[in-house]
Amino acid sequence: MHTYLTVPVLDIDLDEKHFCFSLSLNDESLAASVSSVGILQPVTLLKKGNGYTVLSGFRRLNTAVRLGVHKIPCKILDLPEYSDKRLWEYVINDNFLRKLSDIEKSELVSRAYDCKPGNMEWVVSDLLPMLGLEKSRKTFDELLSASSLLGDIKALAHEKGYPLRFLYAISRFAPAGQEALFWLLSKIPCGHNKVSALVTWLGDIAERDGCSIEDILAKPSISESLNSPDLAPSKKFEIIKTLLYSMRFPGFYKLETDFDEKIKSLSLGRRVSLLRPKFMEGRLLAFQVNVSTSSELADAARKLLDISKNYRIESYFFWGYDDDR
Amino acid sequence: MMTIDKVFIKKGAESFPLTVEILSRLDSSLPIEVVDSIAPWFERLVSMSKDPIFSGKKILYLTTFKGDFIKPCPCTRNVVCCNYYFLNLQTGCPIDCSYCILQEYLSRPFLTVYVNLEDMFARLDAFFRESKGPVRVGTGELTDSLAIDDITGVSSYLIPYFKAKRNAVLELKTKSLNIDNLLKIKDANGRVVISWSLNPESFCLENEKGASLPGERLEKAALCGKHGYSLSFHFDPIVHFEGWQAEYCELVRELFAKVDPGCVRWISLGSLRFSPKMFDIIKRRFPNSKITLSEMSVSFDKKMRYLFWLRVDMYRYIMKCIKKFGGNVPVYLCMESLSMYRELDLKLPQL
Repeated sequence: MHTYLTVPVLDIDLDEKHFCFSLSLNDESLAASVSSVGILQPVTLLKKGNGYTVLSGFRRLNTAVRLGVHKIPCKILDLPEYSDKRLWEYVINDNFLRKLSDIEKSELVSRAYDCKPGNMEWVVSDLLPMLGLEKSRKTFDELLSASSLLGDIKALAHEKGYPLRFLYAISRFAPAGQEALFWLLSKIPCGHNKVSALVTWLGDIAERDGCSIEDILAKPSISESLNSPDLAPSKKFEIIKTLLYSMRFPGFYKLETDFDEKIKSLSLGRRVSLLRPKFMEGRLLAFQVNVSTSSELADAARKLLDISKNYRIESYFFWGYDDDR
Repeated sequence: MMTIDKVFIKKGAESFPLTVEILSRLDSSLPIEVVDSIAPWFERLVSMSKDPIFSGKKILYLTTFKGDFIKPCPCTRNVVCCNYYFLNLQTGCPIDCSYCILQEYLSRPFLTVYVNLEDMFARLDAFFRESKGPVRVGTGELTDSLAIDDITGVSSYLIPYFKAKRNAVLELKTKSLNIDNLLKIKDANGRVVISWSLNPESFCLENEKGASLPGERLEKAALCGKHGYSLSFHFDPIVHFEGWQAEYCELVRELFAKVDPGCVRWISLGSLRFSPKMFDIIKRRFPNSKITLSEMSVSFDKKMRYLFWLRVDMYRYIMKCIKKFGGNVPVYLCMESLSMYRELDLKLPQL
């Protein structure tokens, strides 16, 4: 059962944030809406002594306080007996309509678990499905790992809507590495699809070479590109991607760049092109001829004949991997 | 080596002779439960276990198999087929290898034994009546053929059956030392091939949790060879690491120092490969394994592999070692492209 009341803000314990998992308390669009039409959706409160504690509606309440609103519409839960577990279920249901980001879900789960440490079964079996998540220990572990990320990363994750798997990958980094990563991500503001490979490569390079994430990102080639005021973020992203790819896959990188160099040396012109072999497997080169007339075809054929006479095509198969072969 | 925490028996499978036999070999204090379905237990495992794959390896599930017991190996696209048929007798494996595809492939990680042996032999009879040429059959596709043979005793049924088959060869592929049942069988003949996967010891210690060491495997292989079985060895997955040449060379030398090359029916070579999804699984389950740090890329069958020319080098080197220490033992490649066979000038696999 619950009652709807208009409650003075002074009666609400604003410091009690046990149930607060929102990462965007200062939402400007919400502020504009509250200024214009006030709070339409009541904030959910629980009676506590002579005052109230907030269960859900922290963003609305925070916005109202910021705008100097003194009284706000509330839904007061009237629960003769309740447990933290029950209250968390209310909180999730109350936020059902709002699409929570994965980092918010991780905050929520971490707080709910904190209220009864060891009660993992309840969190996994009851809370995770309520949040639309898989009922698995793996997901639970990922959520707890994500909740331990640095504040800056969390805020960015919320803003960008980073998915849980990506957050889990970042959580493997030490705090200094996360800080360095935040610096990188703030310089190249892309979605997770673009940056997830970079994060994986960074982790792999650090592990393989026994260095830290911050050491890698401090390399002059990387840091200078990221700090350059003349480069657009998309250009910075491309440069960093190539640099990290060349560090993570030096063999493939050499092979591909050597092959591209060899293609250039053939001066193929515009009618004939040599395709980069798919997967760089085996001994098969594919030339593509683009013509629309017989004379263009004859030109292309002459070009191919010229290549066969003047270049040793067999050498193209050892694409830079082993020069002694 | 192996710990079983609990046994589940599918309702209806309790009275099969193999079930009774298996239960008689297990510790009587083990909890046993007859279930309508294993699904709820699997869900529980996923929701509560930090590592459901590892936990699943400690659960023995006895059930019946309703599908086709014998199937051709599902070679992926663009791969040279090695004419292998696999016999679906068990799924799951107590050994926990970092690179094992079963981690991704099996929907449920339990040690599952199909107890309706009579159905299996009836299907095999029909299969061999229809098959024209010689067939190579193995049980080690979705399990280790011998790792729980001390509990199941299935080899005691399979070997006599295949010994009598003229147009078939049975391969039992393992990383275990479980050969006691094999040595009890008299008059083993060349139609039964006992096979071990091999990799350098340093790699096994890091990546094959619960498996025996390669030196121990070779000692058991020598015993099987002396007993009359044919032998085969699988250098699979061949891995690239600093100093790989010396370690593989030593492994091949040790192989032929312990085992008579005359007993070796074939050796297969296969380089490290797995689907891109496996990266995440390996990183989570084996954080200390270095295999995900190798330079691998999506290859001709969508699996991650080393560079073509690096694989060529590795195969060529190991083949040279085999030639040096083992003479003309037949070698074939596992899950490789026709381009690779051509590059190495290898004959396509035959029985």
